[in-house]
Amino acid sequence: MTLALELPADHSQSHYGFPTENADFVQFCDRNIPDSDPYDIFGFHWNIESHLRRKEIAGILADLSELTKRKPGRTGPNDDGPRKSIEMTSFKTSLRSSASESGGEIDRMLKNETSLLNLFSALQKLLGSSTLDGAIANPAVRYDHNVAQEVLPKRDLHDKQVSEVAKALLVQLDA
Amino acid sequence: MRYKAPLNNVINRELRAYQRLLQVIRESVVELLVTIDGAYPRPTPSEDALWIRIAENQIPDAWRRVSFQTAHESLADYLVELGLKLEFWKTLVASEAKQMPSYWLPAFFDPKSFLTSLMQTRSRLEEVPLKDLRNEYEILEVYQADTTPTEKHVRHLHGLYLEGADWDPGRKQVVEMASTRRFCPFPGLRVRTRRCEDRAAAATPQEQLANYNVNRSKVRKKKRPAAGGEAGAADDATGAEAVNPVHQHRCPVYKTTSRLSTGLVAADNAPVEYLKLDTLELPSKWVKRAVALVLEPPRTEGT
Repeated sequence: MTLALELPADHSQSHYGFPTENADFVQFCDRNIPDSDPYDIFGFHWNIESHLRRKEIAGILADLSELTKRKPGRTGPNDDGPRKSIEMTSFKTSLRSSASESGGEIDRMLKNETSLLNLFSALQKLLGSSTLDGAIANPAVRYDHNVAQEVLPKRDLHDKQVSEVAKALLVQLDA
Repeated sequence: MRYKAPLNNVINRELRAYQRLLQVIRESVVELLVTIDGAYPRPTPSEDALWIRIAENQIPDAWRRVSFQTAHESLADYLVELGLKLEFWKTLVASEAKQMPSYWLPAFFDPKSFLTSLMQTRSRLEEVPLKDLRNEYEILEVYQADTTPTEKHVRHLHGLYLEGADWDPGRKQVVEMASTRRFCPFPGLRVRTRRCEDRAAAATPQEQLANYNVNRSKVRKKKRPAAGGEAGAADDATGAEAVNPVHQHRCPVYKTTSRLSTGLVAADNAPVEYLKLDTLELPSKWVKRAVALVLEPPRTEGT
């Protein structure tokens, strides 16, 4: 029994594996037990439940600890910052909350078709529905005509427009 | 490059820094163009790719590494800031390096060098040691001077914000905030490079701080005589300064609101300069509240 090797998980046999005699049981659980328990495993319910609760509590505590840390550029401990805030990721929405003193300057920049702000703002709008859209998790979906028949022509058009705006940006940067 | 024009040297260095930043921005746009056009070989996609950062409204790390110091997180705010700074430099270059009516201090990567170069200019022209010169700041009544100073060794500056207190332009004093905002625009400055004949006037910042602490302990706020109603109002009308002596708050000027945050080079966060601002309150009140002038307030924190 002392020399027995670790037994891997076998769901058909209703177990998540067996550790060796001197193994660290907590580490073994971390490695083998999934975050959610889709199987009805006999005999391990208590351990699995307590392990999952422990992970959940640790996660909540980590989130709480994160809330107390102020990061540069963020407005307060409860603010997720622009990265997580959906409304703050839009250039124009983000600028609407800007200082009133610079409101006139921002309007002027947005009206000027060749300003960097205006060109980057146009890029953001187009990239959201181009092949470089970050929301497409599976790269194969980008070009699969069977998957997105309605979206592909729009993506194709926006790709061309992104290319044109990027070229206009290069002209401005070289000027 | 003329030896007797150190300001040109500073301007050239600033322009080179902006050129480098624009080059990095250009490289990331080229990477986007190559990727979207399907050219071969395609660059390896990374988390710092421009299209990912644009979607998140975040400044790419590659830009930050060569950028002016900024507390902005959002790319939109950064582009506004960059656009304004580039406009300033275009105006400066278009004026063929003639003296500007007013210099926008936040446009400089290194504003401290600019202020030192003002002293260097006089030092080299009159062949006096730099330690015998100092910049004296006078607070203007306008936010941005529109006329070029006619006097020698005088420049106008603008673009400062006062954090944590309000500025009373009439009395030219730091006062308590009247509103809930955190920053208030600060008037322009007139910088005069002066010769200081005695060593005491040319004290080092450490010596100045020591003198300041000694002087401060001697100044005590006089108690207002207990006079109610109209008599008290009459006192106010005759001038509060007669009752309350005017103190000076040695106010630091920081580049951004990040101030002394970790993770950046300490020298970058050190105060650019200290300005002596008049106040009726004890300076310790403003020190405790960390009142300071900043060159770049955040755009999204209710300025």
